[in-house]
Amino acid sequence: MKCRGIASGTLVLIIVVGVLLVGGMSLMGSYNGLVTKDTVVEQKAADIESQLKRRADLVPNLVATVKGYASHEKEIFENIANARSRLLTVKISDDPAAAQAASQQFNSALSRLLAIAENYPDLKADQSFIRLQDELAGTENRINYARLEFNKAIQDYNRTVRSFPTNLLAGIAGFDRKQPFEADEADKALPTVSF
Amino acid sequence: MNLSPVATSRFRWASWLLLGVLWLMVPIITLAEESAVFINEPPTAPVGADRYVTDLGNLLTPEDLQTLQIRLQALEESGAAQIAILTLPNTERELSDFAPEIMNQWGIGEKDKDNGILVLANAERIRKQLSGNRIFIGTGLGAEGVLPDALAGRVLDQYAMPAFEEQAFSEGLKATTLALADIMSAGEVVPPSENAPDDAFGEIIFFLIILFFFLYLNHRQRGRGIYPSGGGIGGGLGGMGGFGGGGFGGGGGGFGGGFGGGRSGGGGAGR
Repeated sequence: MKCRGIASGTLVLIIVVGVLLVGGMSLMGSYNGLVTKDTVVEQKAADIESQLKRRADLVPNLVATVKGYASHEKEIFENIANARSRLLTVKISDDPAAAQAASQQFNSALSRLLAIAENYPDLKADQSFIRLQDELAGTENRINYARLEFNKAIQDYNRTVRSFPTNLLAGIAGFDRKQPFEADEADKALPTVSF
Repeated sequence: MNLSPVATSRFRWASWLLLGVLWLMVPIITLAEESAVFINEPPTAPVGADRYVTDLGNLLTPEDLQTLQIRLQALEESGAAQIAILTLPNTERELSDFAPEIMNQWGIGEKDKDNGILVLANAERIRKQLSGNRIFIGTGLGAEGVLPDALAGRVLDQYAMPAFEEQAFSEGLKATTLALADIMSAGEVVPPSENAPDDAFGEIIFFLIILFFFLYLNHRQRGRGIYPSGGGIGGGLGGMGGFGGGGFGGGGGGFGGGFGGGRSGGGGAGR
């Protein structure tokens, strides 16, 4: 009898340890899953930022080319310079609203710069202007694509955060739902370069 | 001439019937037309040796199609790039965002290099000489260095646009694609023929080390007389063997039936 008591005590202990172990493992697994998905979202946001930066980097060259044909359009050059420096100082991750506003301001300044070409046929036919427009359009396309990927990552992350039982863990560990990117009209309208 | 009442009613009946039949056919005809013309979703990925050119828009002559298939297959075998051509009868999509979607779905380009390129053409707009959204060169993430957007745009200006203006659609597509193939093969720095055996060699060494490690463990434990655990180790070894085999299959993929699984980040240029 005593022998069986010890045996069943050991059995209970083994079961308790086993349950704790399995529970702990699955908890760790879902925590790590959340961390992984969170990292993917961060990485996709960084992709968008690097493309936005790349687009901003094209502007000095573009301005230099346009100045060669239309040096007196000073106001437009000033606008784009201001918009560019503002775009480069705000980060999406720090202040999404300000980043969005800066991006819109930059877009409208850039579209005004590109619109100049309509008045100067020589500029429109300039080879380096055409190349820069290609780079600009390509970068814009990459930005749209990066945003698409970012939204997909967020969707995946949010699904995990909201589903049971991960949502309990996410609540404790501070994994909140994230807001996907909403393309605004000004953003969409710009640099579609047509010939 | 006076028709009898019977004949008149028969004539009327027949004309109503004819009208009815035509009425029924109208939606069928327009439906068939629309579904044949607009392609707004990526078509299924072509497989086989002639997967490089998919001429749904009928822009290419049979000779040019043949030339391109041969050139593009040779290009893939050289390891420089995977170039695909897709012509659509018509589409409502912007080619600039349709192209990366197709590239990622088809997996154009080798998996670790992402050196895929897609020449995407809208036959309707090319034939009607409409401005913009006619043709787009999409570049994979690994091809962007050799073929930046500005260069892709220049290739289109130099080879596609002049030919298209003279209604030489097949010639324009061919010249554009051959120029891209030349750029990619000139820009390629590391041929995969040097790379691939290296990888395979490394994997074999890794596998052999693990094999010897387990054999050694097994041997030691047998020496101590712990037989039962020998079976467990054998099982583990079997699992490892399966893992190694999977790795080889993944690395070698790409030359088989379909494209290699390369990715695009939305790069390229269009006209």
